[in-house]
Amino acid sequence: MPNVFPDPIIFGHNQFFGINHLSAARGAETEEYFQDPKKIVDLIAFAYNLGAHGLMLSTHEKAVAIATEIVRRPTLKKNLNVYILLPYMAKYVKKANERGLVNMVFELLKTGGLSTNFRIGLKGSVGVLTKDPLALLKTLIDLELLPFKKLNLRAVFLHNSLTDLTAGLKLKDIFPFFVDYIARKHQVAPGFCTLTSGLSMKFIYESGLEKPLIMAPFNPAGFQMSPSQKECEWALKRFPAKVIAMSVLAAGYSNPEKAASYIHSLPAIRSVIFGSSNPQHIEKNIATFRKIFR
Amino acid sequence: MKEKKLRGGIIGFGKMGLLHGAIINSLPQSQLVAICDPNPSIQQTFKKFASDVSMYADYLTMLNEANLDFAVITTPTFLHVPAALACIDKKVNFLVEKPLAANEREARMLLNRLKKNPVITMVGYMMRYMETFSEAKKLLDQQIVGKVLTVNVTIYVSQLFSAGKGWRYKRDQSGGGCINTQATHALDLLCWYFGLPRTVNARIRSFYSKEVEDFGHITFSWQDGLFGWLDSSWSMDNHRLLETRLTITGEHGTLIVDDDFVKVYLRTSTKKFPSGWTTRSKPDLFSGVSLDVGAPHFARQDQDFVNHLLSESRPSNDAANGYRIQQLTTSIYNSASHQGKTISI
Repeated sequence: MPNVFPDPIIFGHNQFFGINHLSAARGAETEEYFQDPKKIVDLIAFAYNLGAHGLMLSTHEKAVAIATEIVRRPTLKKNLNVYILLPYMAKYVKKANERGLVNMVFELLKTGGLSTNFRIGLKGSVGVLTKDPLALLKTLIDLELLPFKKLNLRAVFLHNSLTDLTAGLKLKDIFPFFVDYIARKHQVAPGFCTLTSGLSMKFIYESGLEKPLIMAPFNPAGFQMSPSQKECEWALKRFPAKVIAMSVLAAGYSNPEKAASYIHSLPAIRSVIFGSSNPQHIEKNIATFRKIFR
Repeated sequence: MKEKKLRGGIIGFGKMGLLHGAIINSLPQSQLVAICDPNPSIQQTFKKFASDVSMYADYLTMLNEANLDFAVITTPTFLHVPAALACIDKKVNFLVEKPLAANEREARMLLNRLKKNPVITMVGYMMRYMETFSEAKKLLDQQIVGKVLTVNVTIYVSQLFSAGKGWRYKRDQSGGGCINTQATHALDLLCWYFGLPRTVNARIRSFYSKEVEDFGHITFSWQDGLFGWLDSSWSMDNHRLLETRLTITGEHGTLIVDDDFVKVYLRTSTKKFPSGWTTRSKPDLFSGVSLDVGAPHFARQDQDFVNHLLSESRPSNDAANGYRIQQLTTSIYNSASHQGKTISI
């Protein structure tokens, strides 16, 4: 498995896609501002130049245009480490609401804007795929990653909904399969995003995966930390992992100094991810977190 | 020795079945032991990855064999009542996704059966478990804005911009469109906060869908002079997720609550609150859950259901409450089919 240590500071993507965990209305406004992918990549370049050498990208439809724009800029194409979070869940939830879960998978495989090359690569018919869940998962992963292959990919994270569903249902073999497939087929480090690190880190450990790459919320307010802040901190000590802390600013609720001092108190965390649309905030956050990771 | 966990089964293993299944399996007091779904692909997949869970093709066999303490019914709406009746016959408690039924007649039949053979029930109106809406309930119970005068509600999502496929868009299977499948969440909040309205007037419009409504506008009045409106659509641009907002005006000020915050504006200070704006946002109100999938309120609801099973008590969001929401929805559709005529409930 590629042994990857994540960049200390990773720039987040939520603001580009209208996601705001504090305010949906503010999220929609920010999305309006970021209609032009050039504006988005300008901000990514700004953060990169200040020391955020990583970028998280969800496999949102809009991320394809961002990827294309990054590839056009030589420094970013060469040096920016991209972390992918897949799949973009809201898209699938809406499709499942419209079509039902099983129909959604069928239709995705039949159409979904697949390129000719990809169709040729599809082994067997759709009917055969639905009988073999792992083949189906492989196809869905390939489909999601396809537009991002030209980027300098550093890691691919499984979306928190899928990580936490798998851990909640105690589904055997899924995590080892994901790790193996991402590492071998795509030659990138696999990772797991979770909103229930207290539970999921234990299950990942029990699945036999050592020192996994984890992305989970850690902030002084305990926001989005389930089952509880205490249990998440316990899991961090108990199950060795390479951890990227997300929601470090609790969706803008905590100030950077307070957040940084909390992260500093947890030695297992050597990396943070945050997003912002405000250049001043970006500068301040990067400077504050760079101090603790020196 | 460890206490025995409550045994839960899922009826209908689609998106919501997956979610509830994972949650009940993560709660300290319950575990998932059985799943039933007629789809062979789903059965095969789960046999492969979850060998401890028994897989069934039909719920009657599952209810007979799996020795369940409770079931979670996550089928399409038109199958809720038959599945719930089977649970009652087998004395299995159940949590059923909202809305309770595809029509009032079936809901009434279910309620009658429950009166004869009571089990503990809950209907999946999960917004009560969202931290902002439950905080608003506490504040309203403390009469924070004094006597409530008006209320308006919007509930929107960007979901449907072409004809939808599947059971949700067939009236006999879903019971309706954006009102029955989504706005019922807000109707439940209104009834929870203010009781069942006395009258409704409604207008609906179908544009993308043939059989069900894509837009709805409803006005309400209550016994004590309170009145208000609700506007609903699943075809509204720029709403990435389902977003609900209530603006409640009272004699002392205004309370605004949505998925992200509760804001109160008071014209003069009271014993508990200062004058001007007081805001409580999600990070202020957040508390962790056993498993955060979809959103934390699903786990809060399932935990509350299990707590009621353990204490053998009846929750306020039970089937009887679900029936009241069904009555309200029926009146709304009735009014809409008579050009917005006033319907008494």
